[in-house]
Amino acid sequence: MASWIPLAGLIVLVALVIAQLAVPSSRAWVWKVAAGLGTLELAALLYFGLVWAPPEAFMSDVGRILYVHVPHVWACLVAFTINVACAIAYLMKKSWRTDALAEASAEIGVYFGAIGVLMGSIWARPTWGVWWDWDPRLISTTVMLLAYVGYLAFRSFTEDPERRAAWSAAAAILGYVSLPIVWFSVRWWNSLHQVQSTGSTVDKPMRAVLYWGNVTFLTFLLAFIIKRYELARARQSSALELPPVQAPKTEVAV
Amino acid sequence: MKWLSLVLFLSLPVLADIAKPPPPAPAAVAPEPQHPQGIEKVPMGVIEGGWAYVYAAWGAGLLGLVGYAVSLYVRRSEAPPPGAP
Repeated sequence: MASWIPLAGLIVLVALVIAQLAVPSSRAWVWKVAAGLGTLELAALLYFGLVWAPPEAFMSDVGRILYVHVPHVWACLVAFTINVACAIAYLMKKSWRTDALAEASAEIGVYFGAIGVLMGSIWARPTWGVWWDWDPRLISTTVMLLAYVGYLAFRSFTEDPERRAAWSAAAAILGYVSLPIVWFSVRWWNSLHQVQSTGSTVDKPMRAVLYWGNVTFLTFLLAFIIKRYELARARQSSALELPPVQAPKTEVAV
Repeated sequence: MKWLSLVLFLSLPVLADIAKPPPPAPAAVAPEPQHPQGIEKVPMGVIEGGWAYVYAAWGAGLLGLVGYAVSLYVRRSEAPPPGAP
């Protein structure tokens, strides 16, 4: 795989994002294009990741988990970054759209993060000898995911839409504090998890496949966010048009 | 003079101890690779096999994609349309 191919995929993805945001008439089909493109990219990733890419120097074929584990975690971090951006935007200027996008991105971030952790656990067994280790990176990632699960639980349990939006925006900003801790945990503490790979530590063919994996799952992230956003908007519209729920007045006989 | 010669003769082993050792012979084998972060020794070896773990991880990713897409589809049909009572 030539190194420019992932870059071309990223350019197409950015074009789709711009079309979704800037061209209202394109919103009916952008998610379909993203889903179809993601499926094609995934088929290519299956070939490049499982067949074409060379085995890793020490992990051999087990190293092929890299091409799905890292993209899932990256998609998770991108989703949480969208979430906190929406939370800040909501607190600066109240908008149901940013609130719905925050909800959508948080849920999808939890999904990608949970699958990424599951893949990491599968990868740990043949390389570390254990399915799980209480290592700084794994602990901080777990805490981050639990924080966002709590965020989603708070949203589902709070009935008042305005209070839900404002409080969850504050919770999102607090939850995002965990993200840099996750990122730097492998550098700040003595971690069993390796530090982030760089261009100098990954061979070119492996790097190209890794970037292709990132583009693939970011394309799915776009398709999922659009559909989950539509769902959040539909629920929002329904909730906002309903009359306020009042507790029935009852008299207690003494 | 005889005594001095005797002392020098007896101190030869001591002088030999503090004398510079001969330079080490070049190693016959290449030195062990060093970890880029400076860790002294990294267990060297190649994991053999392990395709079951690869398939399990990739399978989890594929199942996750399909599962989440299905969940979105199911919830889409459950979502109340805008304006519904």
